[in-house]
Parts: sequence; structure tokens; C-alpha cells
Amino acid sequence: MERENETKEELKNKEVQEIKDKIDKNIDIDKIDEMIRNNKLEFEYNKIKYRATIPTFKQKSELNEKKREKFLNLLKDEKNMLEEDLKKIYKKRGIDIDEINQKILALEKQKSDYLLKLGKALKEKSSDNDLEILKNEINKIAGEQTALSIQKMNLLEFSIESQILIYIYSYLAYLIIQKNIDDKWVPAWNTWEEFENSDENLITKASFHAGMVLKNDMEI
Amino acid sequence: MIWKFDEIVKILRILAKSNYYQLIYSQEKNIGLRLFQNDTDLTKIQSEFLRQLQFYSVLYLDYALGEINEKVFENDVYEDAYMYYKRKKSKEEDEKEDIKEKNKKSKKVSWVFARPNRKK
Repeated sequence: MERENETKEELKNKEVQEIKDKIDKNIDIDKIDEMIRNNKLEFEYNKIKYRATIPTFKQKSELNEKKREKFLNLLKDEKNMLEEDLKKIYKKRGIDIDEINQKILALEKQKSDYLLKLGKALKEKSSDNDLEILKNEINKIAGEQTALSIQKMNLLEFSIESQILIYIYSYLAYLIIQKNIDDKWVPAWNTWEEFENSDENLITKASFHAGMVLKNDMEI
Repeated sequence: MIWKFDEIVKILRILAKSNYYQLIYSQEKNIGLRLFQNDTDLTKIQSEFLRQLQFYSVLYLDYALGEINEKVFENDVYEDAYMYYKRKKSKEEDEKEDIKEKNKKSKKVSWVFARPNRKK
């Protein structure tokens, strides 16, 4: 039994690491440095230059309209579920998402307490060993929080809310990404269908850059 | 999206901690060195970078004042822990000051409206 639990734990850690590795490959420090300097985020894909521009009022309105449309369409189909519906189904199967949320919050409180202790220890210039012990506790708690957050994210992946989020970031990319053709910036895609049929890696890059150009998440 | 932004924040921290960006940040107002090419319409990434620059600026200042030693700069956890502790302490002190101020004011009020003793 103990061994079985150990294997599950190992698998969970492996999953967390895999996701982290996947993310690291897409981001490099020089690129971020460049992204800081101006508010026009450029990237290259298949030897074509692309850029994300700040959305105009008209584009934001269009995005909002599409978001509303998509939400209502998903809601009409009874096969689609809201987070609350999914939570009820999971609960019947013995998975309590509210409990996961509570655990995440409790861990946050624990982490804050340790941060406070460590901060005090640093101010008082405590021994390296004492600092190391507190740091390891904090890292352990942060790891548990990450694992729970990933678990929750995976469980709610197919909820209407998650689908909407993916859709609006993709639609935003479709609206604001431009490509450079003969030294002129033109929309990267002429239609939404064209965007949907593009290379998946380009869509990922485009959505990522589109998200970065926003002032904050409340904009969409 | 949330995942990727977290990873970006890690890189922003490395850049904000660098001497190069700290120098620009500290000299931005004094000699007009510009941090960004744009003056308005800051992106999410630029706003977060400003926040990180301020974070490290405070940390370096405390180091210069001898409040902390270089051990704090060894990793993100130490840096966050110290700043968290500092903020908490400063909040506690502000609250104590507020209570003192309130007490002072309430004493003054009672003095102003104190009923004069009647002469017997």
C-alpha cells in the first residue's frame, strides 16, 4: 500500500515537472528582455515576422460579443457543463473540488506563516542551517499547492468556463496578431476559419503573445 | 496562460535584479534614462516588471543600510520571505501609530467638551 502511494506521488511529481519543462522550452530570457522594452511584441515563426498589437476599442467590443455568443452556444448544449455541474458529478464519484480549494487555502496560510518565520530569521541573520530548514518547508508546501492546482485544473478542463477562456485568448490572437509581408504589417489571418486551420504551434505562440500585450486579465 | 505568466515572472525577477536594470530604474527620474520605449499603454508584462524593479530596489536599499546580509539574495524564497516579513512589520507599526493617533484625538475631544466644574 505504501509502495503504491509512493508510485502515485512519483507520477504526480513527474507530471508537474513535465508541464514545467514544456513551458520552459517556449520562453527564453532574451525574448522577455525585448518584450519589456516596448509594447509591440514581435516573434518569428517559419521565417515570417509576427507581432501582437494592443487591442483597439472595436476589437475589444468584437471579442466581448464573441465571448457572449460562445458562452450562450455552449450553454444551449446540455452535454456541456459549468464548473458547478462538474463539481457535483465529481463529488458523487468521491472527488471534492471545494475540499481541494480549502486545502490550497490552508497550504497558503501555512506558507505565509513559514515565510514570516524565515523573513524574521533572515533579518536576525540566523544560521544557514535554520534558514535552509525553513526554505525547504516552504518549497515543500509550494510543491503541494502546485500539484493540487494542476489536479483542479485538469478536473475542470472541460468546463464551459475553461472552454471560454481558451476560446477568447485564441480569438484575441486572431484579432490582434499581424504578420510582416514585404515590409508591411497586415492581419495574420483573414478569417477565423483560416486561423483555426493554422499550424497549432503558431496558434500557441500567437495566443501567448496576445495575452502578454494586455494591460491586465480584466481587459477580456 | 496563467502557467506561462508565472514562468515569465521568474525571468522578470532575474532581469529586475540585474545591475543594469536597477541602474536605469534608479536614474530614470534623475537623468531621464528611459526604461521603456513607450510612455503610456503599459502591457501586463511591463507593469509586472515595474513591480519587480521596485521590489529589488527596496531589497538593495536594505542591504546597503545593513538591515540584511547578502544571504537574502541567494534565492527567490529568501527574498520573498524577507520582503513579506518587512511588509507585515511595517503594517503592524502603521496600525499601532493609527491607534496612538486615535487615542490622542479622543483625549483632545474629551478635553474640548469637558463640562466646567460648577462653583459651589
